Formats: sequence, C-alpha cells, structure tokens
Amino acid sequence: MNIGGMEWGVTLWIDLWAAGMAGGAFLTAFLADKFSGGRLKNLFKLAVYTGIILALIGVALLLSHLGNILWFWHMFVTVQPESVLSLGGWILSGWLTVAGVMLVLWIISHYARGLKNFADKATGILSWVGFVLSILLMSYTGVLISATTEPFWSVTPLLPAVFVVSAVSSGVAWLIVVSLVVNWLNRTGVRAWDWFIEQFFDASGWQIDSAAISKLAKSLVVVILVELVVLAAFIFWLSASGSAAATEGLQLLTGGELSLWFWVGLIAAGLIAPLILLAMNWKRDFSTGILATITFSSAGLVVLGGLLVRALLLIAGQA
Amino acid sequence: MSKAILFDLTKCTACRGCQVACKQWNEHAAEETSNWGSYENPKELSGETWLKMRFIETERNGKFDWLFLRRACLHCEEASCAVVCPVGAIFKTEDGFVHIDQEWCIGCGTCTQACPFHVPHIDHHAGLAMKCSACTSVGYNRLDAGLKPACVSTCPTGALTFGDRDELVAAGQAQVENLKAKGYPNAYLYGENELGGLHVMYVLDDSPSAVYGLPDNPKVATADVVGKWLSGLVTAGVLTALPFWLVFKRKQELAGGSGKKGGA
Repeated sequence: MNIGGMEWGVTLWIDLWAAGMAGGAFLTAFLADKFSGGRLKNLFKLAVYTGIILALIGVALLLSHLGNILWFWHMFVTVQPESVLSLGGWILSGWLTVAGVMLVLWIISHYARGLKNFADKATGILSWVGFVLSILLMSYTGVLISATTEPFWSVTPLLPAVFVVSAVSSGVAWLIVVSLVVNWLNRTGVRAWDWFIEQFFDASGWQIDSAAISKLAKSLVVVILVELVVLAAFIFWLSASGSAAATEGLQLLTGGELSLWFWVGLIAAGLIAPLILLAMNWKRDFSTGILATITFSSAGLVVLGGLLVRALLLIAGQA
Repeated sequence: MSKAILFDLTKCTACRGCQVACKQWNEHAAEETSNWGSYENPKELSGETWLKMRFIETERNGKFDWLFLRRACLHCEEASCAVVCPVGAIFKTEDGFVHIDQEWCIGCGTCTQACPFHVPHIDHHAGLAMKCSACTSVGYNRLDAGLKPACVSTCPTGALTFGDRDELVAAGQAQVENLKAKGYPNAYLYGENELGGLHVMYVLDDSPSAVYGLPDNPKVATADVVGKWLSGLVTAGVLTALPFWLVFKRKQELAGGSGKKGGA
C-alpha cells in the first residue's frame, strides 16, 4: 500500500478534519448557547475564534493540495453548482467571512461601547448564518469524498453522515480541550495573555463555566454513541452492497493492513475509551481536579480519532 | 456533427503503434518503468502517457487467451470529470470530445476520483490534470487541420477508425452481430449507450465487466449527490442537535451570562 502516492493524501485528511471540526465546534457552541438561553457567550466566542484558526489551516492545506496553487483564485471566479468542491470552496469562504465579521464586530463593540447594541444584533443574525454554514461545511467534507466513482466511498449514502457526526464529536471534544486550557491559563495567571484575552472576551472574564464543560462532556458521550451507531450502519451497508471493490476496501479496514489502526486506534482509543471514561463520571464535575485531566485526555483522544477516521476512510478507498 | 473513435479489439495485434504515436504527437517523454510481470508497459496512465494498451491474460472455454484493450479517455457524453471540476476547466468540444483547459485547471485532482474509468491523472511536474484530448489540445489540434487523431492514423490493422459517431455505431453494431454469428454470444458494443454514449467505443468479443474489467453501468459521480447531501444534513440536524437540547436545556445549572435569549 503506497500511501504517499495516493492522490488524496495527508494534506486532504487534515483539511477535511480541521474544516469539519471548525464547523462542529461552531454548531456545538451555537446550540449550547441557544438551548441554555444565551448564557454561554464565552464558549461561543471560543468556538468562533479557534474555529477561524482551524478553518484557515483547512484552507492552507486545501491550497497546498492543489497542483497549481497560484491559480486557486479560479475557484472564486467560477460557480459550478454541480461540483461539490466548488460548493465547498464557497461554503468554507462564507463560513470564514461570517466568523471573521463576528470577530471584528466583537472587537469594535469592545472599544466603541456605543456600537455594542448594533454589534450584538448583527452577531446574533450572523450566528444563525454561521450555524447553517457550519452544517453545510461539515456535510460538504463527506459529500466531496462520497461524490466519486470509488465504490468504497460512493456505494452507500452514509459516508457524509459518518463525516458529519465525526465532525460534531471532534468539535465538542475540541471545545472541551480549549475550554480546559483557557481555564487553566486563567488559574495559573499567565499575564501575557490577559490583554489579548480582554480584547476578545466579555469584561466578565474569559473563564468558561465549569458546568458548561461538564455539559459538553455529557453531550460528547451521547454524540460518541451516535457516531458508533452511524459507523456500524456504514460498515453494514458496505458489506451488504455486493460491490467487490467496496468489500475489498472494507476488508482492508476491518481485517487487513489498516485493521489495527481501525480497531485499536479509532474504535478503542478514539471512541470507546473516552465514552467509558466520561460515562463513568456522568454525575461529577468534569472540569476540576483529576476529572479535568481525564476529561482533557478523553476529549483529546476523540479529536485525534476524528483525524484517524478521515485518514482511514480515505486510505481504504484509494488502496 | 458528433465524432467518435471505434476500437475493434478483434483486429488489434497490440503493436502499440497508437501508444507511441500518442507520445510522439503530444511530445510526451518516455517514462522509466520496471517489469511487473506483464508485457503491458507502463503499468498505468499518467500525465505523460495518455494512451496505453492493456494486456489481459485469461482463460476461456478451457483455453488460454491473450486479449488487448485500448486504455485512454472514452470521451463520455455525460462526462463525470467535467461535472465535478470546480473551475469548469473540463468541457466538451463541438465534436463531442472531452477537453481539459490546461490554462485554467488548478490541479485539485477531483476529476481523477470522479472518472468511472480512472483515466485523468495529475502530472506532478505541471501540477495539472491530464488525459487524452483526441488530439484537440491547443497547438496540437489535428482535427482542425483535417487530420485524424494520431492513434487512428498510425493503426496498421484498422482496429481504430475515426468518423461520424452515428456511422461508427452502425459499423460497431454490424461487427458485433458478425462476432455473435461466429460463436461469440457475449459480443458487445461498449459505449453505444453508456454515460449518454461514449465518443470512444469498443467492439468487444466478450463481457465488458467479467473479461475486460469495464464497469457494467458506469455513472456520473454526482448521480445521487442529493441523497448524500441529505444524509449529511439530516445527521447534523437531527442526530447531533438532539444531544445538545437534552443536555443544555437544564440551564439553571449554568452560572454567569445575561440569560437573555439570542445573545450569541
């Protein structure tokens, strides 16, 4: 198996992972904030700020994947509605634009208090646009791979579902990781960050509510369960498809060269272990003491599992 | 008028004159290859090899058979590569041939994953997708000069013919009937109807998929893309939103924030 020679290689794995996770983090924080009556603004801002970084990494890797990087702008003077990559380019650009404008509005409202009402209303509207774009962004990463003639990717419509649920689990896990880091930085008093943080977060501070982190951890438990069900359905559909090429890819994934990475790396370490660790502590505070370390490690494993699921599915489809 | 190339494999001796003519006309370099256990060389198409002959070793009716198949772009009427190209660099000429505009291609490689026949390849030196253009490339256009594609002109046995597609379909059908009468019941004209009609058709003496490895019912990569979008959107909308509602609706456990609605 020549992984280095694959047309869709490591840059695309990371691009799809980073872009999906940015969308997943945005969707998570948006819904968490809405369902909790607007009490989680800092979490939402954290999702937008770190999501911008993730999306920019995705864009950079997407560009580096192009054979002719200097002509990337051809994508933005052309609209090809039937081309998933064209739509994806526009969705990613739209998402980045919305997130970027929200960032600017938050900074403006920090310095010009008179504009705070306008900024709040505008970011409120933009957050809905960003929510829709996040769903499209997560879906596009799976549809792009699925809309090919490679049977392993295209024979079942469930590949986009796998990518979406994995993007959400990675997004939730990412938010847990960065929330715990932010709170740790806050506790340890790393002053060099204070000025920077004050520009971007509410005057009330940049602490992420520990109850919110616990709720994110509980959400992650449910999302992992959904992910396991969707993955099982995807595998069952592939095995029942009757396509020799799809079955060959599946065999490679579950019983061949990739099986150790799949069963131990993705299923055991990336999904089951975090699921058990988090579920065991369901009624406790996930954000302090040893449980914070366990939560941090579990979420970190889910984030890495998100990369692994993309890498394994892309390799199995091209091997 | 729609044009086409007809390949009658019963007349092919695998001299590979077409392969060499393609390289010469398009000024493509030779590739360093190694023996992989077959006369077939190089092993796969590439940015420098737009046409190659496949050597198929098989057993039919208890006897060894050595079969030859042309491998190059089939110039689909419903071209999957053109549909998925994000910059519209792949288009069809008036004759019906599928052409990659090398001044506009960005080398994303999407076409390489969308072609049902795995024909386009990225040339990593040029950073562009490349494939047979039926000799319609800018600066190398034989058709505008009233010539046939280089592969057809050089074929010494008449296995390759070029002309109006309707006439070639009729000729191909006649040859298929002829083969059936001679004891080849699975003879088939591949490309007459596949993907809206191919502009490179094969007269085959046996099953396209079982013997020659061609897809029985090739589809455009985006044929069921709506269902795939729905799969992603429904998952995002239902399966993942539900956990957040279940967990975060008990907002009294949360501290801080103004508590007002819509305040993202």
